[in-house]
Amino acid sequence: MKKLHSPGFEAGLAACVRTACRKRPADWREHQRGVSLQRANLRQQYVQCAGVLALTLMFVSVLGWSLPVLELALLGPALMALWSGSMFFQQVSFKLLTSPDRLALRNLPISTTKTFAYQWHQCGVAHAAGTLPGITISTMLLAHLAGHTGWALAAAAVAGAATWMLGIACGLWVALRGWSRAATVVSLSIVSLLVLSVVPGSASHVRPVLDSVGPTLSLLLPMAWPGQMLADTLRNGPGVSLLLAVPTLALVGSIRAARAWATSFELPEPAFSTPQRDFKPERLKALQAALPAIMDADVPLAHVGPTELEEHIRSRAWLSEDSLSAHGWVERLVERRLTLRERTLVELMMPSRPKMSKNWLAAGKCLALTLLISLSLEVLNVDWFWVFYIFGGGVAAFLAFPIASSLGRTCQPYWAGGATFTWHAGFPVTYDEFTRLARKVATIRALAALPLAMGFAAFLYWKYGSPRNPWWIGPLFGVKAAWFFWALRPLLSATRWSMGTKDTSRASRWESVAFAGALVAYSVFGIAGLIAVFAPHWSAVPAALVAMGAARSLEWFCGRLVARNRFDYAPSQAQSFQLSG
Amino acid sequence: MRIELRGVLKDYGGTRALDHVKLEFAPGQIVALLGANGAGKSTLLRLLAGIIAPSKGDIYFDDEPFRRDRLDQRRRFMFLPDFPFLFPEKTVLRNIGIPLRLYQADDHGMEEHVLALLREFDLLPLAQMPVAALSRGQAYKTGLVALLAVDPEVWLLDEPFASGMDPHAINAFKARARAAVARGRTVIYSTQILEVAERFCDRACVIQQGEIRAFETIGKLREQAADKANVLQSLLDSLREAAP
Repeated sequence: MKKLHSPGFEAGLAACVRTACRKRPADWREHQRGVSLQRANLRQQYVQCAGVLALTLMFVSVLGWSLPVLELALLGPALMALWSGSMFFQQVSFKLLTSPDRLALRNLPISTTKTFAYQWHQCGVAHAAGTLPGITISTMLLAHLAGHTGWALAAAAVAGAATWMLGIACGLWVALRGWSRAATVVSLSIVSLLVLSVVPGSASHVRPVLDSVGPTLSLLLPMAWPGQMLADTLRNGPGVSLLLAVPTLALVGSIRAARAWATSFELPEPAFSTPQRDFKPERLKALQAALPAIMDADVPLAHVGPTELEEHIRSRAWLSEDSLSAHGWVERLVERRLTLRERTLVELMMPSRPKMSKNWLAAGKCLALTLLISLSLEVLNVDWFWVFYIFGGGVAAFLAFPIASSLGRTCQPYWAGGATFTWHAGFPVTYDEFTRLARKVATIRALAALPLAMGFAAFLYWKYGSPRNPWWIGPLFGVKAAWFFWALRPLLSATRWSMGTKDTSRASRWESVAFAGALVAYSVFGIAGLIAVFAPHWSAVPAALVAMGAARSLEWFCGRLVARNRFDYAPSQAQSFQLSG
Repeated sequence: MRIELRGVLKDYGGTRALDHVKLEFAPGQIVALLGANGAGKSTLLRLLAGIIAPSKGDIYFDDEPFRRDRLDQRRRFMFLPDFPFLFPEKTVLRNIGIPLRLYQADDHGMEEHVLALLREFDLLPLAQMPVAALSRGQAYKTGLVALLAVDPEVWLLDEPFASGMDPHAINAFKARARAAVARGRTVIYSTQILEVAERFCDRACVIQQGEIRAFETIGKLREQAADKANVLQSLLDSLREAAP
């Protein structure tokens, strides 16, 4: 066999299967079900494509639809290409290193290179179908909105495709070089794009910033180079900007080199296939170092002999709950307020050690750095120094406040042989227990973050606020910000739990009901929450109560649906596909 | 615990996995769920375990409808799928300890019971090993020891005899299951190994295309069967031939 993937052979086989299945209605029904599942997978790619387009247009809406500067608008597709590259990196790493496909294929008499080529092909096609059309169409649409027609649109299509390819190339190199922190930068870029796009009235503030940093960003971000060349050529004719074609072509050409490099990755031998008699203690230690293994404190390992192990088992130490205290002061505060049952639930929720204190410290450092940079820029008379306050404040909020659902592993998919279930489905635990625990953890984290929020807000009001404001307005704003994220927690918990369920024919109705309920709750929370944060003085209180009511209502509503067996404890199809590779 | 399924129907999209199933599992018996691949055995087990929800109909535990928010009901059974719910980064002991705590079965004296179980299933030397480092059979045995230690009223097991366990562990499991049934526990398991089922279970539940075709004691099936030596095999063969 020369090729692992043989479209001709597969098409012939599919035709034979189709003919055979047609002869028996029951078989035909099953066959049609398989076909519709495949189509559902394709639908997902259409949705991804539409999403790319919509996000780009939202970004452009900030600039204004008349589009005086095409270069700036084309930063939208460039940022989407950046995201697309990071997605491709994740898919390839998954297929390369952890996919069950990969483990299965290694047992066939096929060379690693051919296996990799197959995986690469599968990733590339699936990824291109989802993101390439969106980025290309966006680029063409922006050129059209800027008043260009004819061959200019064809050039825009080429530029769009090149933008996408540069995203892929950068994503690959980032992956291969092992710059894991790059993923954070990519995420922040996308979050920035979203924030720019959806915050009402942001255009008047954001536009001057984009005008200032846009040209620099267009040169620094490789994905923006095709857009830069396109815009410049359309406005001034062929010129010096076409020199960017050299690094562009080099980077696109490097995809081949990256692919060759990636082929040389060696798959680690799966630990579970190692026979016990061959399992060396040093191998165990290495494995424990690689895994987030949580060992009991001061316990004998397997090689020390049966007596010590038996004594350890008799001591009941292994039946005690994991201690959180060792991980920092925030964790210690959390642990003090948890019951024994809740401490067991925390073990169920968190696969690795919590990082609450570490994140708190990082948030503090981030705020200090923000102050330093913003004040320096202000001294240097840079107009848009305030952008750093927003950016730094946002990053610090993400680190210190309880923004994630806190359910961690609880709602993640777990492959239990033949089917994928939500992790919590295997244990006697209830929705109410988890949401209560999530609220407790959120409360303590929000209280811990309060000094940071109050201090930062107080400084901003003291420095830039009106002198007529009373002194407590700044700290009060910090309290309001902490309240906002704390009050958001029930909404996030309910949403996270819902995402770990799958609709069935009966549940699809309830799925719609739950979705409608969530929509109402999020809208009410969004409006009332923002009023509560920004409204002056005591008028914020009723808005805050309404927002909290909306969040708790959704939490309660989802709880009722779950208790009455409206959903399967199985993750969505997309999550299952991702897990099964 | 008596379990009753009243007109339970389960659809996955357009496919009917179970079709208006009416069943009653009395306590103190071992029930084998039999049927071809895709017949609905695992679906039935997952419904009983509360992992999936019936599209129609209800499940009753001792005449009380099963609700997911009732911890007292949830603690009465334990489900062991092909690949048990285990914490790969935690040790074998921790993987036994957490279910014991969640089921509130960590009373004093439990440590001796767990020690005996670990010895019986050859897991004692591996007690401090992370589960990720174990073979499939060893991982399954870890889940099984947790179930045996918790000892819930209803044991739900998906293909326990095709789980990679060694013959010694399989025999130990059979002996433990027999002893548990004598104490009034109910063991419901799915299997494709008919020879074992014929000798091991008290009752067979045969499912075909989502419908229950037989729910009888092995003794009664033997009385009705022409081939007394291979009762279940001949029953499944006849059902296959009669299928539309």
